[in-house]
Amino acid sequence: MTMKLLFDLSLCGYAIALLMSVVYLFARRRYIDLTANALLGVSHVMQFAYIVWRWIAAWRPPFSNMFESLVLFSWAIVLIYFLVRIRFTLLTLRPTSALMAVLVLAYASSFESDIEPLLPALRNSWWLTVHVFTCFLGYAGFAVSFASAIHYLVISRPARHTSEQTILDVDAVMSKTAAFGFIFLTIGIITGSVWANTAWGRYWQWDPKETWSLITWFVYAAFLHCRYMRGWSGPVAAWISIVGFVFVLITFLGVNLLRIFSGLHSYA
Amino acid sequence: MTDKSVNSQSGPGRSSSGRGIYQPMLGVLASSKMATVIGSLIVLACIAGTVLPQGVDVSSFAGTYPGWEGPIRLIDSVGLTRVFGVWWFIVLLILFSINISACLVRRMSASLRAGRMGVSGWGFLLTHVSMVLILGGAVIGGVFGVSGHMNIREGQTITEFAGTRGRLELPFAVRLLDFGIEYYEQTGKKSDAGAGADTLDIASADLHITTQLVFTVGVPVTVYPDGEHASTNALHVLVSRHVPDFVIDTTTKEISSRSGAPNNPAIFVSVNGPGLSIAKWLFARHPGFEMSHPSGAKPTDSLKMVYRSGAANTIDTGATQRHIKSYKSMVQLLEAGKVVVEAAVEVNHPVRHKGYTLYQSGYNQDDLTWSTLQIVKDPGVPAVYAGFICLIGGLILLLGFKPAAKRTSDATRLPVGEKRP
Ligand code: HEM
Repeated sequence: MTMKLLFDLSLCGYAIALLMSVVYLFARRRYIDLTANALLGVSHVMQFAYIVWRWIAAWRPPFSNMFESLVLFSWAIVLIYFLVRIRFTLLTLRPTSALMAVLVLAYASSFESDIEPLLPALRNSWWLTVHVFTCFLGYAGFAVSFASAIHYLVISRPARHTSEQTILDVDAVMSKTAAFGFIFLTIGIITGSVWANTAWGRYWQWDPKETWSLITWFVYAAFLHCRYMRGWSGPVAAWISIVGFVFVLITFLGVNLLRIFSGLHSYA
Repeated sequence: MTDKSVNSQSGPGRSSSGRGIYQPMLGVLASSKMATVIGSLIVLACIAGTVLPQGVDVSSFAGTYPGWEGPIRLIDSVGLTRVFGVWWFIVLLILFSINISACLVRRMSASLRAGRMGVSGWGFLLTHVSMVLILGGAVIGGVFGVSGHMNIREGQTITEFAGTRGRLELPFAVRLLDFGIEYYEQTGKKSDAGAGADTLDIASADLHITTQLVFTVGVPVTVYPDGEHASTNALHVLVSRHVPDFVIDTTTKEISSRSGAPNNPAIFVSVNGPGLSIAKWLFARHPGFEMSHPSGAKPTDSLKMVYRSGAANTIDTGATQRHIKSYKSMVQLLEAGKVVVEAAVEVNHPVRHKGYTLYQSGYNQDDLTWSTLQIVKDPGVPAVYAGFICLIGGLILLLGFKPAAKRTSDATRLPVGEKRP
């Protein structure tokens, strides 16, 4: 068995679990539910094995390039799904989480997956490892919060006559996953900052990625104030969660695409 | 915020105290409205600071965007091309600290009067104190911090270094015992074990310079003519950008990285020195191809630069290549002539003493008895780190324990979309 096979199997597993979860929305058979869950769980374990294998093969934590971060991201999304499931059974949570995991993994496979050697500044840094890991755990929390926020906006329209308990549960999942994400994003920004200070003597440089992570942090701080301190449930919180996730994507993927007056700046 | 402050105002002691101007002022400074306004302004400024080019000379735009001179000049004059250093951004951060401090004072005095804090009280205290500590630390660093670099030769003992604002004196002397480089033997084959550093070879016959720099993006390096140490013929080299997988959008001329993999590593280098000023992209895979900065810097034929990427391991020269694995300076730090510290300064392993931190930053390839150390002193760091610890601790108290969860269910028992009374 090769390492790549584990990757492919987990992607297939997620995809089939996704299909089954969608089928289950329309045909509530208990065996479909159980099989989808088992498949998701087994694929999750396989993906974990893949990450560990890669760690051993590369002899370093496998969190250093786009491919590796995306693999970690999708793994964390499914992890959050299982954590949420301990307390909440929401019909839509599995298809949305599986969908995000599949999309992220499929996107990951468009990147070079060879194990790449590292630059000296990226090598042997405990802070860097914790930094990447916690950031992506945080992003995964925000991803599930985002999915719940959309779900919330759909079901809370009066015309839908959704049961109050469901609305409460979706709202609770949206808030708790955002709070979870916020703690980990905070730890991620802090460990990144400590790493930068040990590597080149600056804990904060206002580079675009840092700045966007701070903007994202502000948005979720606003979310938590509205939601927990003000007790605003509902659409306001849902919209902030959605905006927050768009900012997460900008932080993660799009920082380079944002600049205008292109080609002329000093690339500082 | 509102609901909570209403509670605390009706708490014991609060209703009886009408303390003139102090209370209403505190009310305004601590208000969530103020927090919202300042927070939004900071976020907008941050967005502007990443979307607009920063630290540029706008006169270079004029030719390229005819008709836009007015708006460009306006953007520049209000400081939007240097957001993170402009006075009003600093004022915003200070107002932000004042707002949070005022919240702290109000909430804490209410807690004191009520005689209990509770888990969420401690959580609130820690999270908000942390932000004041972090911003305070940043101010201390900005006012009292220094940074610069030192070129030092084996056997030499130096106390002075070149700071960003002139020469500075260290409170101790640095002696370089030994400088050493460890190489990988690499043959152009792929290697999973790790690769060398990115390096930049610079050679100029006119200036008598031949050197190989191991650069750090954003850290300027001074290169001296061979055999000299302090010379007016020095070159100032800055690698300001590195992309692992260079792509250029042919319509917008925007440069970005297609992926994180080193498929087409490129760096943007600017070199300034006597009679020359160059800024261009260099490509590890295409050493002959250079892309100049469109602002029309003077090209020079006499200066040769070659960028070698440690990560782009298919530079297929056939011959065995020497990539740097690590390099370090063995130093002694002396006070009053006595050795107080002896240590190795390495990439990622700086040496600290008396508030100063020494980082390995460069060397002269042709004379390996020279080493360049970066020197940083930031007395704000302890406050910032203390803030980091408070923030994590406070968040765990606030969000990791039941109180927040209880509030959730309280709040969600309301009809959807309605505000808590
Ligand atoms: C972005 C930075 C932050 C700003 C600008 C900010 C600002 C404020 C403001 C203005 C208040 C209102 C105080 C009052 O009305 O008494 C407040 C309250 C509060 N904030 Fe923050 N805050 C920030 C970050 C945080 C974080 C990260 C948390 C943790 C999740 C947090 C938790 C709280 C809590 C629990 C309260 C309620 C205090 C009370 O019940 O009186 N804040 N914050």
